[in-house]
Amino acid sequence: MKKFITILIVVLILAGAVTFEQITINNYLNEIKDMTYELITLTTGTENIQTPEIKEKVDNLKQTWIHHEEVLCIFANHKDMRDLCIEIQKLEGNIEVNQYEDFTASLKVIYHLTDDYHKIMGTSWQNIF
Amino acid sequence: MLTLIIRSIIIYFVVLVVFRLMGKRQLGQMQPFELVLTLILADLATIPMAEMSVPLVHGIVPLLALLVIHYVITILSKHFPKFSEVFSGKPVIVINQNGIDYKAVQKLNLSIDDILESLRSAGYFSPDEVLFAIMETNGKVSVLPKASNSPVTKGDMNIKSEENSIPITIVSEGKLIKENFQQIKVPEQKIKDFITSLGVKMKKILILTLDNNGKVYFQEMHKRAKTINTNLKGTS
Repeated sequence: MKKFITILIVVLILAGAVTFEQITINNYLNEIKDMTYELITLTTGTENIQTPEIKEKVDNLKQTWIHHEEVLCIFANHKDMRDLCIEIQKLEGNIEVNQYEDFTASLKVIYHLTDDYHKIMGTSWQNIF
Repeated sequence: MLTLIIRSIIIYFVVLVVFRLMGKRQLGQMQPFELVLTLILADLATIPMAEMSVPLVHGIVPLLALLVIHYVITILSKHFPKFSEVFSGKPVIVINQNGIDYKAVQKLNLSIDDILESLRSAGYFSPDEVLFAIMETNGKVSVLPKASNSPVTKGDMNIKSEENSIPITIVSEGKLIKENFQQIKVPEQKIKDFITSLGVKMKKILILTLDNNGKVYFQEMHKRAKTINTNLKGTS
């Protein structure tokens, strides 16, 4: 009976971890992905990235990342998270020197990295086999 | 994460099937599913330990998933003999009254030399001495010798003897082990009085054991051991 209860607790822990990952981690990454998409839309058709609106959105993106990074690193590969972190850090520097191409390139990398996480870690037949 | 769990379970079953197909030669003493678990656990545990970029959770979750699957297999094996047969196999008689069952030996992927080696390990140097030999699910061979080769027992000779008793450690390296008093079923005070009667300080006692027949094995530090027969007999 004691062992059964222990196994039951382990099953609950596993279920909890899976649910937490599916809900929280997906939400965090989706939040970053959505913010990045907004920035991509905002910068499409304009070469000037030094507008207050873009600066504010980049700052929000950075703050959101800092806020969620610790939790994300518990569940995701640290290397993947580091790549994402580097690209987010690059955005501010690109705004300062008005490097439009590099800025949009970084945005696309961030978008794809957040999207990739679902593809790599999500539950699908391709990932299982 | 769910992917990790599913992948762990799949690998577990794949390795298990491979080991079942390989026969019992590779097994040693464990049941096949226990061996599979041991192999995977060792590797799973080292990945997050060696690779810092891999979150610890990625090591812990598959380990826990395997623990659960192992528990489920154990429970199912206990309750459904057919299920146990699939996962652990069943004991196979390799030597019977007619001699070596070569068909059974071949089925187990073993050679005659393997069977003879197992018999020698069990203390029988010729198949002629053996009535039955059974290859157990853990890869060991159990042997029932022919009556003419069975060792003579005290029962055969009608010799009466007291039942053996496991000696319980009462003092180890100068420390009284009170948890063991219950096992020996002798009042604590009686034991303490006995130790006092030895005239040796507690911290000078290296080891003192007592069995249910009242036999005390006692050794003072840096001195020779003594065996003393006492009246400190357990109540059971």
